Amino acid sequence: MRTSITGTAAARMTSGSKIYGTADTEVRALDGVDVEFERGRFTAIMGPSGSGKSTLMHCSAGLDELTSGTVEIGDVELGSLSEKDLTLLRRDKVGFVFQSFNLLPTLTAEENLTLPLDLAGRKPDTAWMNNIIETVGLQNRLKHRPDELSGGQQQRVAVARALVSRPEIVFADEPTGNLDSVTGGEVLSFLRGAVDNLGQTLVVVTHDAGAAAMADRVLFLADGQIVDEMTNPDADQILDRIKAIGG
Amino acid sequence: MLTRFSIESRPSAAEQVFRLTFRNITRRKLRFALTTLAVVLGVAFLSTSFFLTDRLRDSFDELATDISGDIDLVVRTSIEEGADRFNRLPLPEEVLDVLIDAPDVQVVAPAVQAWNVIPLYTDENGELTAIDTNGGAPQFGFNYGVPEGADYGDEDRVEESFQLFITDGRAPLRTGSMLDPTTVGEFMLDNLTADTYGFTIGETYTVSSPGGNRQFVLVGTANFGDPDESKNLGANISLFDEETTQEIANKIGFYDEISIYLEGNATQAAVVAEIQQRLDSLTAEFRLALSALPEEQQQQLSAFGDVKLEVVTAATKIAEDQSDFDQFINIISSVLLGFAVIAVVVSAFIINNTFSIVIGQRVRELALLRALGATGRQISRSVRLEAVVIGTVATALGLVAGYLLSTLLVWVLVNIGFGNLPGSIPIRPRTIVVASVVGVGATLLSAIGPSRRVRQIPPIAALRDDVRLTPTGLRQRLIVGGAVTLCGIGALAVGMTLEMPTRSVLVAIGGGALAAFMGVYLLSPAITRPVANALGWPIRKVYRIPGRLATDNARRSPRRTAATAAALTIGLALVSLAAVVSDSVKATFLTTLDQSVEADLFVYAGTFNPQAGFSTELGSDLKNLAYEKPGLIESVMTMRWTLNGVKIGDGFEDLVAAELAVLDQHMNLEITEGSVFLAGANGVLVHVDPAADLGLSIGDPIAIQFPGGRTNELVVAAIFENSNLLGNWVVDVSVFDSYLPTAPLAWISVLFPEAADNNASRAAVEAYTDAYPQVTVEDRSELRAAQEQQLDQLLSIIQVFLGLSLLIAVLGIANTMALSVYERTRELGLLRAIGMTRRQLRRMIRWEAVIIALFGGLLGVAMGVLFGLAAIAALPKSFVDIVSIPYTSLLRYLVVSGLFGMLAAILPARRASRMNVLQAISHE
Repeated sequence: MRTSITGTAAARMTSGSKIYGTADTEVRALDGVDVEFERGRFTAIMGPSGSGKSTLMHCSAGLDELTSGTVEIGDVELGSLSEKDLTLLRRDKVGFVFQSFNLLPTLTAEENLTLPLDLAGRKPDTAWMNNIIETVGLQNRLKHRPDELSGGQQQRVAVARALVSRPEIVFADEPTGNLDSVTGGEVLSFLRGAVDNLGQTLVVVTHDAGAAAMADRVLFLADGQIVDEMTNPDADQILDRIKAIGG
Repeated sequence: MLTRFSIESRPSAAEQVFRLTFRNITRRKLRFALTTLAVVLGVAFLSTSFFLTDRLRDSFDELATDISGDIDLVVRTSIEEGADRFNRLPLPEEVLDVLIDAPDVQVVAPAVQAWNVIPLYTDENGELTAIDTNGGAPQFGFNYGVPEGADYGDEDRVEESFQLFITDGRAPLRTGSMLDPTTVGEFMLDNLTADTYGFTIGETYTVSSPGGNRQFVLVGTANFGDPDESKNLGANISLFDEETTQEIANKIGFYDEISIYLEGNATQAAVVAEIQQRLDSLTAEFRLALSALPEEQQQQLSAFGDVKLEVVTAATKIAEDQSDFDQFINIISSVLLGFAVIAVVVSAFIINNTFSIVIGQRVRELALLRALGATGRQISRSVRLEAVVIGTVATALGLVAGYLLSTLLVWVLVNIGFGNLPGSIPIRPRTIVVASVVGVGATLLSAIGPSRRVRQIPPIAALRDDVRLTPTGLRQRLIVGGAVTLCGIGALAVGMTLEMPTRSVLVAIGGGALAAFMGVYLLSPAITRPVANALGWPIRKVYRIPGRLATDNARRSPRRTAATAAALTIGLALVSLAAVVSDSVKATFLTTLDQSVEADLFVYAGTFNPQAGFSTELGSDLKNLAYEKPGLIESVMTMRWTLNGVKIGDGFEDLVAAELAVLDQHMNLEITEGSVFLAGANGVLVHVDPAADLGLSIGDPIAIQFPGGRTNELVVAAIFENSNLLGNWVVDVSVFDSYLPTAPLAWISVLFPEAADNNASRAAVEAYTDAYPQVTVEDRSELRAAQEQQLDQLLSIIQVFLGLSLLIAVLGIANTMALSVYERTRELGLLRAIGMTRRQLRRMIRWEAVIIALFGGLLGVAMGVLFGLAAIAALPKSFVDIVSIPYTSLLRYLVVSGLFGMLAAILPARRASRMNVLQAISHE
């Protein structure tokens, strides 16, 4: 499990299409997308509003179903899974960070952090957990409830929670969208650290070129298709490309 | 087009408010439906209590009129206002003579009625069986027809006075004296009874009556009250010729009343005056004659010594009958109304809670309206308007539901033996008005708090996530709640300890209970967190994280949890109160039976009405048995009583007659002064309480006025402490023989000798009682079990009724859960996204509901026990003296409330588990 082989896919979408509505009102949110998210790498997905980037993420993560095509996480094909297995797969193999409202208000930071393990009825791996907690710097806030934490701290707890079950892949949907740039930067560097130091696989959907610039690879989506891809870009390159696409 | 546009674009403020209200209602259909349903149920119960009782009252009023036919006057003995009219004395036959030749009298129709006339039949197993009473309805024997040679006037009109319409066979005729047990008489039955039990014309049956068991041939069947259908209202009616009826009723030479038809051109007032004058002179003659009789005969007729005869108009008689029926209907009405009030109160709690939650959820929406320029007052008004709309719709639906429910109940009544109830369910303006005022009023009242709170919403709240509506501060609530609780408990304590008239005690206890309940309701949010925590402990141990989240969610909003639980608390408090009281009554009765009753066998009429009883022949048979076989039977004691029949001091009292010579062998009244043996034929035994009230001591005279007006001065022979067995006033049977001949023999207790074989003794008794299948024969353990069962049955009926209020409470929990689930959509989405299974989610919601329900249940049971203790203190000691708390039942109620919580959570949990994860996460 620990071993992450760079170059093999943690998740893969093949000919993924997602169509909303029918006939006249048909909207193709994804239109024949082929994509692999490689293990141990940080992939950013960018694109204008309505380009399908969130749909790509939701379908890849087992939160939504493709109209056609397949999604695999690890060696499991999602299309064949029952609702329950899909839930268990999300619990055990996928980590999530949402833009906001990531934590349950009644649980402490620590309880929120271990929630996926508790739902599974598993004991946390103490060493791994301490490692994560240290990485995100939450040692002193563990007993606090979400409303006693700052926005940045809340997102850091969310990142830690996404990592706690050592998932195959972590998806983050605009994780810094609600944060100021300094705090956002902190959260991004924790995500980066999770890839570099903990060997995690990370997919981030973002509007922010600065955030995308921290990725190993950036995918550009427009009208439900991947229109471009960059490796180790800097923010300016990304901005130029976005302008070119028309986002 | 243009003008129309301009009108629409600038609606008045009122229109805007209305539009907003309307949108809110139509957009949130489920929430609206749930809120409405609570009011619908409350209004439905309320209107049912009106519909049903109006219906019954109409039927009974019609029947009272029908029974009287179109007679003009009724002659009878008078009875004092306030006395139990069942005890009215009959009048001598001779009265008929002065009526027949009175001017303008066209027809006289004497009536004799016998209570406890029970036709027996042989069932399929060959057992002699008595027809059942329909819930204790009376079983009558009436006279029918004109005796041979008698001239009562126009025969057709006499016939009419009986209100009997022969459908098969013929009228019963006189075959011989029923005093001779070998005579086979003739009788007729009402169609309903004949059909129910398969009585066949031409067959011979035994009819058990106060005059004994005799053989009769069934010669006909008839409809009572109406030519087309029998309107018995549950009573069984047997018919005999006049003389036979007098014999089986033990009223030889007497009538109960005489109906009179006048000539068409008669002046009623003049005839009444003439007849009254004739009656008065007859009475004077009678008294004179009485005083001339030998001592012994005087003694026999002493009950009639002061009797007065009166003539009343048919209208008076009908009004009396109707008021008799009314008393019965009023009992039903109060019971139904009581439950309806509980249902409405429970509903009000639910509506209030729903409004509070909904308003809380709409803060941002309402703030947006404020930001756009709506005044706080407008928003507040829109909330109230919403309440009015909900209340109106719910009231309309509730009335419809109530009408349907009443129809169902009438159908049930008809089919359990009431017979056809004439008429249809009347829709009175009163019903509509009360239901509307209560339905709309309760809804509006429940919305007032929330509607005032919305005024405080600042426009800025539209832009912020974290604005909460806080009602009055918790501290203020706790202070008020504490004060109210203390007042309530104080009132309860006063009611329980101070010596006061019963009415004041009930007011103190009722008011105290209400205040205590409101106080605890106000205080309960303060204890919600720790209690929910404790209740959740085992759930957390078993279900880990769903259990943990369930507990957290239940603790999250103490007010909401407390308000939701309150509806259940009311129902459970009442159920527990009933359980505690009935268990204590049971314990009191059983202890009395065990400790104070020595008799071995009990013989009593299986029915319960004020005139229930059986033939005196059975009493004499058993006494003879004791005389003939002293080795089997030690002694026999017969008992009779009158409820509210005698006047002592200023009030009407119950009086029991027993054979004082053997009383102390059969039961222990705990006599403190004097002796039973001093009593004899003119002594009375008095309980310590009335003795103290009236300042009586041994040897003091006490005047007791019997029905018929004769006052007898009895002497206090003994003072006793145990009023559980025979009540407060006890005399010898011989006193009743002289002064209250109409009171039937109701109870017999039999004492076996120490050395006797109980089975042999019992068999000897049953050799006689077997001929009376309507009579119950029980030894101590059987009596004990039967009484226990009866109390349990009563309790279950009460519980079923109260259970209806619990149903509303379940609805309330479901409502809260649905709203909470809606409110926490995002949280649920998050949980599902990170791997909570549907099953875990349902579990979480289910256990939250269970915790809320158990919280309500715990408070309810606790309060119910407290109120029960208060009620026991308030009730008379003869009724309940020992406190017994039914722990297992109370525990069962808690389990049931938990189950109700689960039930309430089913739909909300299902909805929650099926929600789309993605939509849930992005839910605003």
